[in-house]
Amino acid sequence: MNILFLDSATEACTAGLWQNGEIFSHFEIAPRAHTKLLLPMVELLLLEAGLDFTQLDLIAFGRGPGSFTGVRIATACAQGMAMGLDIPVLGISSLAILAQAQVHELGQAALDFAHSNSAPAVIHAALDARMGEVYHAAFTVTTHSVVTLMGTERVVPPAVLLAEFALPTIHGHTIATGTGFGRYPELVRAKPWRSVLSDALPDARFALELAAAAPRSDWQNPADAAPVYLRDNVAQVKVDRTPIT
Amino acid sequence: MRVLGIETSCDETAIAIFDTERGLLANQIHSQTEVHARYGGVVPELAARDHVRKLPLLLRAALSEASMSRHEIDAVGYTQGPGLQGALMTGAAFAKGLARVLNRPALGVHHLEGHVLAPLLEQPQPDFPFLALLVSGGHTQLIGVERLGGYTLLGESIDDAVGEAFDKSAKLMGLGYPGGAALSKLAEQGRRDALRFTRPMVDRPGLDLSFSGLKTAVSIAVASGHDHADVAASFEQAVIDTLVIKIKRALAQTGYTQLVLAGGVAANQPLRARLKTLMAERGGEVFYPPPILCTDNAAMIALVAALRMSRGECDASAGFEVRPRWPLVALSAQI
Repeated sequence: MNILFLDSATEACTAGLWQNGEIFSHFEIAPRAHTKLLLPMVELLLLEAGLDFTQLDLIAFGRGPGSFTGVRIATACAQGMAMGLDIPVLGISSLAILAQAQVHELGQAALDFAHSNSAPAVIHAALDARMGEVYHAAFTVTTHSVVTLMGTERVVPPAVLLAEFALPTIHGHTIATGTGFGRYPELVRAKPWRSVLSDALPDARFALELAAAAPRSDWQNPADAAPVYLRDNVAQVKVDRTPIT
Repeated sequence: MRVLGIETSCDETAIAIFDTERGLLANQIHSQTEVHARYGGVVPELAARDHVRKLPLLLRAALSEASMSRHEIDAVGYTQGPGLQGALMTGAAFAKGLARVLNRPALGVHHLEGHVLAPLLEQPQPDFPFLALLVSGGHTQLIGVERLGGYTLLGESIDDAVGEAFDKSAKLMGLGYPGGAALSKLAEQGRRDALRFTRPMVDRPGLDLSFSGLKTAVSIAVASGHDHADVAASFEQAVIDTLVIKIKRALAQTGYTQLVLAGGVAANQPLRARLKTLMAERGGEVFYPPPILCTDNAAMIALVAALRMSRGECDASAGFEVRPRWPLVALSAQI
């Protein structure tokens, strides 16, 4: 199976190719240059893998949360490509990608936890959402070395997370990842984390692991490909100040 | 050559297919008016969100309307600017992704060039050179069109665009947003000479225009209890008279005998009628596209892409950079 993945949800512009288990990927921190870099990056991947677009089975894309514009760039580009190829798409969560990267950081130790009867490891992923908030979600690791979401993804002020982190948990190791922790260091101090990666951004390598592990029932029609913004109160209804005469 | 056009510069999502042999094969337009109405103006973030939702549906509908498979698309044109940055990016990303996997060339198109050349989608067509009056919610410009890609900005509004003045005046009369068309409708029942609004900037030399003062005059007239239909009719008349005075000057200055009316306000019937009379009196001709091709659409984008690509142009880069601020006259400098 051949899967193309592209993501521009954060300052990172990243794209990757899964070719029957082999991974090719690129990652560049390039704020505001995604529109210039994304497609050339995809071209390069196909060259490296010796693949043609028509050999792709699935277009996966970073569906957010993240920069609204960035999330839309990847979504619209994936939609255009998938419609041109008449193949499905799959949206991958930027928070899940961050968490998936930690499965590798932890190595076998985390997996042993997942396999054993002791409390499972929990990975908290957070991205800076601006406006005094972070995008946050917690993940645990399945036996297949793939992260799975616990609860829901949300956009919250750091204070909400601080209060939650202060509660006693039954979980085993807790891990923090993502720029949300870099932006709000109090979140790092709030808990005795086993490890903290406060500058992590989504990387296509880990997104492809998630995409490859996803069941086909998760694949979507390009028309159903939807960004996940989490923040939806983006416009205010203006009070009409027209004088009544 | 069959060119797919994609337009997402503001609050219309549109996809069209133009065939250089057979003309327009599909013209799909989704208007977001309802999305923005409650906010009293276009909310850029909401516009961009809606474009992403609608693009795949419109592509499917356009191919179906043209009874074509995606493989029969020979090229893709998309609006590269000017417009709302986030909105432009959605269409550009979609267009370039699509064109790349189909292994077809793509070309970023200037939205206003699309409007100005839209009359070429229909018969009879104007011949170069001609004078174009571009009147929409975002622009009011008098443009000398010498040839494809040869444009001279002769004059423009120094403040509100004509469409903006219509919408703002409509709002003052409680006609909702966007209420420009409703204002014209109301004007049909009013007396065009009931109120004597100033014809702005007509006593000054040059071809620049101004409409914000007219909007203020409407506000005062409404506040002092004048009949809304009379205010609407008098306002519309003042706008038309002002445009006519400037058009006459522009025709005299350029020596052109053909006038093209373009942009959303070009759908305004009294304006069309007045300009038809004006050009007939002068022994010239006026061209205006049908209303559906006056407002934002992708047919004009596909047309411009087809015209430019048939002389060998296409995007040099694989990226999809957009140009939110991009003066039309910048195109002339490229040649």
